[in-house]
Amino acid sequence: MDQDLISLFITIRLATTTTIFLILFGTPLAWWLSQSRGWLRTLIEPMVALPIVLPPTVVGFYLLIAFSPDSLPGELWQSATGTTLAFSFSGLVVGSVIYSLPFYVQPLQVAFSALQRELIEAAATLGASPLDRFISLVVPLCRRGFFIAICLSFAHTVGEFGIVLMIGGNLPEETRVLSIALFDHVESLDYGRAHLLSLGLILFSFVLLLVLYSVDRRWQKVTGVAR
Amino acid sequence: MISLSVWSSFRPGGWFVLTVLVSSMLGACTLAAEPLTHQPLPHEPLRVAVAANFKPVLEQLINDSSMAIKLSSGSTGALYAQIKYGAPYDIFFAADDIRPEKLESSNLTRIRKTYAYGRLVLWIPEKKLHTASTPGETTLTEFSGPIAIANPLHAPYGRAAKELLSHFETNNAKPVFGLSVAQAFTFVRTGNAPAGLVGLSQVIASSISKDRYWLVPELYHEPIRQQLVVMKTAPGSAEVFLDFLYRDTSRAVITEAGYRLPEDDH
Amino acid sequence: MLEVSADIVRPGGFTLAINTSFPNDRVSALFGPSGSGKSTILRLIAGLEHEDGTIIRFNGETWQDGNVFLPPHHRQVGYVFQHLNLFPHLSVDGNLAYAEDRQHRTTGMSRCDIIEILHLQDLLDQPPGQLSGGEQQRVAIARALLSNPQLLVMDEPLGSIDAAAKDRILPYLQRLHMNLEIPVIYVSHSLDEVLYFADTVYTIEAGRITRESSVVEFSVDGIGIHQSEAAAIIRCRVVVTDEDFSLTEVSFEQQTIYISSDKFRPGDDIRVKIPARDVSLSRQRHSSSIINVIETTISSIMDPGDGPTAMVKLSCGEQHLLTRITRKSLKELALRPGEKVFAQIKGVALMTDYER
Repeated sequence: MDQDLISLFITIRLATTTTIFLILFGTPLAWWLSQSRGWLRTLIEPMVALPIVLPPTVVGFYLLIAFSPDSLPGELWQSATGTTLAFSFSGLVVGSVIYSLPFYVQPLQVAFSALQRELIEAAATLGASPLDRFISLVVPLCRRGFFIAICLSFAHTVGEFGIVLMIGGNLPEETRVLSIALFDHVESLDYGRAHLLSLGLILFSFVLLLVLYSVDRRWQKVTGVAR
Repeated sequence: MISLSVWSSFRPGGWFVLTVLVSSMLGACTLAAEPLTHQPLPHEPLRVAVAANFKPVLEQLINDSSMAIKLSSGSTGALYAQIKYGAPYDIFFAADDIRPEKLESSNLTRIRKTYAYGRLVLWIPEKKLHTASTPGETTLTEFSGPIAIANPLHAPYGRAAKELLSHFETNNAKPVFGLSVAQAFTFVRTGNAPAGLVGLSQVIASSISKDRYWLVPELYHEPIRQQLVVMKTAPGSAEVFLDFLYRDTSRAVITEAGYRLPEDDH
Repeated sequence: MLEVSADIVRPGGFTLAINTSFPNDRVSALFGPSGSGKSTILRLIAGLEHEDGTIIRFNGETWQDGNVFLPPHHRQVGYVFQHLNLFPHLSVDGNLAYAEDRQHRTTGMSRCDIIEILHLQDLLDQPPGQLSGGEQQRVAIARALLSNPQLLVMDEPLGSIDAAAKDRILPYLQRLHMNLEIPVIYVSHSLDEVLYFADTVYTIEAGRITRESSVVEFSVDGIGIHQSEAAAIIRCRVVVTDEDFSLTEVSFEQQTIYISSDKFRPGDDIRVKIPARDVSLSRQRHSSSIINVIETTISSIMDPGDGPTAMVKLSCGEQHLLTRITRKSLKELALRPGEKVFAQIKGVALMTDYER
């Protein structure tokens, strides 16, 4: 009982941390993708979208190999922190960021692309530096895109299973997220708890989507812009 | 699914479709329902389900027997659930004894017996080691770092590993749980965990040299009893296969693969 | 002084080859058809486009050359776009504040003055989407001014506004013109706006500047006889206001013209625009309802040879008037250069301006 509560906290912490990292790294990426016309973009765009089509076990498997101290990324991490990336919360964050990346970047990229370039030019002539323009103009005008991106990537991380299964190690205090706890209950034939957890997850997802859609509809009415 | 309007406009055709649908539904029900009534013909292949860790051994034995057998593998838990809800297997080789017992008490089996005992090993591959020596009893106390084991909640090797660990002062060894003993093995194999408590059969199958693992004496844990069940609906050829299994040549194969044989307790 | 030098060739055939300077103390208009490169020049000046080989210097400061490129937010160029570009998520007040918060410098017109001149007091709380085209454009102009730029560029600012609204805005532009101390570069393909607002006119065609002249010369010589909006710009001095008839008497080349405004004081120098179509000719002074009759000499006749009308340029002292008459009348009156004729200026509703 207590253990499931801990799993809940781990899950929320994972989703929040992942979303924060996605905001930090995914936002400039989405911006660049929306503005760039070069060949590099045609290469990066499908790479970002890959996690949508790949089975999570594939992604998790290669993450496992990458995290190993025998490979370069794992080795770098080990020498920097002294611990392995696998079986740690940090490892889950890395995996979740990679796996939820397209769910953050794509809605945001769409919102950015729909932005009129001339508005940004006008701000530039009024003396706004590029960062200023982004904060004072792009962010408020693309509010909807940000909201969708954050909600989707958060929800996606909450529901993540395959990645955590492959690299998490199911540690009760660190990496045993709700979806793993659910699976454990099923495997141990503890169907009662399994039902409880599943219903909780379904309810959460439903409420999140409900909020997402209603806020979105209200924004459309206010701004008059279906963007 | 056939709406009324379609039905009425295709009157003769509609009846035909309806007949086909109903009869196929009935047929499907028949097939999925009590297999008690289904008697496979003698030359139909035997359908066998096996827990993943025993699969390579069983494949070899089936080969040696030259019997017509269809093999499916999976995790013990998944296979148990499928069988309980009607999957048409004749023999089920589990990795534990709990699931076979459950099937027996559900009155679905006519035979339940032990076919092998799994053996636990402590495997520390030669990578970046602090000790170059062969792992042994003292290794666990000295060991620090993640040690991969199967999930004790539902994997017999995991349970055994947990029991083993409770016998030692392992302050610095941090158990990391794989979904199954196979995943625990992968954790060590990929280098993410420097050590693991895995099955003897696995290290043998991967040709890992003897000086890299310690065969855990069985006194440290409840025996990892792996049992099979023969379903009530299985044909007589099931017993024929079992006889083959308990022959000396077969038993040798099983031992070589890294399992201990049951002492003639049928 | 703004110096612009550019040599651009783009795929698709667009070229721009200019090497000009724009003086600081006036409104410079770029006049030409669509696609001639006018907007591109403005964008280059503001730093919104970056083309190799472009050199831009303002008051000695190099904004752009082979080595240096000063980005737009450092250039202090106020830009009024053709398509408005008010920030939709801010109210009018918010839009203005956006400019104020990022002011380039502290000197310039005060907020009160700008709001007063452009009459924005009642619009401040509204979201831009609810304003009419003309109102939005006034806000856009105010916003550009509030950033206290050193240079104002306006890209067809009245382009997306209907004619009625245009007429309402032009007076605002006039008042701005009087109060601004910074150079303005005004792009338009509308002759009317150019005549109204500009001091110097640069004619641009296919990426080249083909003519540079004062607006007065341009009005008389530069337009071409097929332009329906052809008009002459003349300078007059206010003599006295006749309050009984609500007319103001102004002197023009030692003759008298009456205009219907009462805003001026004796001694004011003003600029008046007289459309060619509002001027008719006669060999004698008639008694008629037209009170503005001027003695002029025919300076030149532009007869196209076909079509119904011809344009006649009249001189009066140092200045000129234009009149458009039918070719039939031209023949019947047997008008020749050098002959004296009377120009009758119809109506007294004339646009006016203070001479600077």
